[in-house]
Amino acid sequence: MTAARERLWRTLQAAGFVQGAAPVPAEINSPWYVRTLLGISGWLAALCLVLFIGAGFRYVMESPVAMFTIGTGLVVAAYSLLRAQRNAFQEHLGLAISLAGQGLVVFALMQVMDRSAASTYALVALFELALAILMPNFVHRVFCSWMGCIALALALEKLGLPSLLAGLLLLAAAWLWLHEFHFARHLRTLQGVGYGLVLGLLQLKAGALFGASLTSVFTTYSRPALAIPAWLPELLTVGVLLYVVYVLLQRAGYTLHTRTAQVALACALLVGLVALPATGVTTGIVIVLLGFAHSNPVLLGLGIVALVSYASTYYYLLDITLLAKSGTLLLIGLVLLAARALLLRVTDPRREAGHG
Amino acid sequence: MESGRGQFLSLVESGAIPPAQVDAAVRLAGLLPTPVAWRRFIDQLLLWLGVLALGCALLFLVAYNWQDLGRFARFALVEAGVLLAVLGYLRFGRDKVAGQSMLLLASLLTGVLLALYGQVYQTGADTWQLFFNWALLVLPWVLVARLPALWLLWLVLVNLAVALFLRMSASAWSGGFGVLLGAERETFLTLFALNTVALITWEWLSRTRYRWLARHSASRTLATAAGVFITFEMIQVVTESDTSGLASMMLWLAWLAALVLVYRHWLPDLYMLAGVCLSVIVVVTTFFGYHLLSNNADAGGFLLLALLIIGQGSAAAIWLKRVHRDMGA
Repeated sequence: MTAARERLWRTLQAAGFVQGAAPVPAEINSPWYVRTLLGISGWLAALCLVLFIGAGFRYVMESPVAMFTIGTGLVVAAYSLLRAQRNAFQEHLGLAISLAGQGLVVFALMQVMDRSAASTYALVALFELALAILMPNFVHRVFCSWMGCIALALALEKLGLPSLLAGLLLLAAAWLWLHEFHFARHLRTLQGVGYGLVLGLLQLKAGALFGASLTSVFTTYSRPALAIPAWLPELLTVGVLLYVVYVLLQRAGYTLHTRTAQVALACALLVGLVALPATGVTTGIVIVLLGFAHSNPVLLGLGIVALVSYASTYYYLLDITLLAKSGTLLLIGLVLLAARALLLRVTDPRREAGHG
Repeated sequence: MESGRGQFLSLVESGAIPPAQVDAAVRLAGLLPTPVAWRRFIDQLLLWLGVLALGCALLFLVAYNWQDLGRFARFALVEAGVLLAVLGYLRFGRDKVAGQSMLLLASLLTGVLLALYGQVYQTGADTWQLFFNWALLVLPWVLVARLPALWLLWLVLVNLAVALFLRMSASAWSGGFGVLLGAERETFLTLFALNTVALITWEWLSRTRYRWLARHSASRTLATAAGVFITFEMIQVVTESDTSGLASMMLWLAWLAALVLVYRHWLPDLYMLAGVCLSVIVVVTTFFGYHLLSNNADAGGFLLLALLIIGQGSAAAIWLKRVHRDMGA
């Protein structure tokens, strides 16, 4: 056991949280890049499996019922493999089989149901969400949540409310990550879904990272959007920023009565309002805050990636001129720097000592 | 090695901490930042974001007004930006983040200035010269700033300059090993060599004289760049199947062995080993995929390929997990 682990154990023991000898780690969390490696190769293998079924069993591909049955069967087989996980080989095999099965099921649904109806995609989203919760594997959870986000995006687009999704996803992600430790029994599930939601958000908001062909899924309007002003759904994102800042202030001990909290919330509101035409900035800031709040370097990194790739996505947005975008960015930059100066002044330790 | 967060999480998962107590234990484990830590974080975050937003605003403005601005106005704008950034650096000093971000901004604007120059005066210079001159002009700032991010920017510029130069010169001159290989492969190998040398230099310098260079992210980025190029080269080799690829394959195997030796025992870093696995998986899969499927894509080929990927992926996972456990112990 490492020295740091010993220290942690003793600290917890002294406070009465744990008793006895420290357990030998049964399963060490793999770093994110190992899990990503697993995820990518699992996805590639699943693709080959689907192609195998397609090439070898032509009659399957022509019958939606056969596809659905075999797909479901594969998913169930994968579940038992992942549940009885004894080594990485089983995990990997289960992941690939499950992804292939999901592909077949979604293919079947697409062929049977009305492709222009929102309910089709809502069903797929529910299917993915159910798998994300039920399947006992972390990489699988992330992947399914992500796919669920895409399906949800399509569903909302068919309903004519495409812009609502970003705010909803951000709200869900913020709630999950803020309450990460409140449901300790379901920690891994929470984290998996949390990461999947953030990846979906990244694709939605900062799509330049994923290439135009994927983001066109989110920006084409097959049905005219309902008559709500464009900025109304974006206010939801601002609301989430305020919510996150409020919760973090409370946890740090600053109630609404304190000057610090009032200034911080006011600054957050100002930043959010100024960034209404460019809500990718607000989204990125929220993710970064969530990452730092629980010392989660992966989440923090994702937030930074979101902000940087949003810059290039924003550049290519077609509906506003570059001049307007430049003005918005100028305003955002100035407000951010002003907010920083103000916050540093208000939280100056020398001033705080005076106020007690 | 597990981070503090990773250790706490593994304790929670093993059930050592009663679920109801986890929330309270989090604070004790040091996972929640103190108000002082928050203050410092917000300070840096808002500063960097603000500066970046302003930089982008300028960029967008220039892009918008391109057609309408006169020659002098264009230069004046960008040069003023560079000047202000340098002044900002002098004001803030080297050791503060504000100062370093000013130099980063100045370096980026220098590139804009060079592009503007090339476009306005139609010098007929090749694209690689833009990046080369950019890297050259920015070098003094890079040396002064002591910012790893700036060093990485510089290396990106050098890479781009070399890549574009080789691509251009290959058509005009097929000297060196350009005669034996295609221009593309020469590019890959040169860039691989460049980044590997950079990696070795970085690792050596950051552990001896210049400790401020020591960032995992920097050496990982360099290794990733080198890995990408040698993997591309190997993809070409396996899909061409001629004897000229033998030297490249030796190089690739030597590089893999070196990475494993160095980063397994001497300077432990699991990321590098994961990169080794990825490179091997990509090359082997491409080899089999190409030879199985290029003639007729039949079901058996796909199944074999799927099993191959699963097998390699699991082997990689098992090995990496074992190494991870050994490193943590």
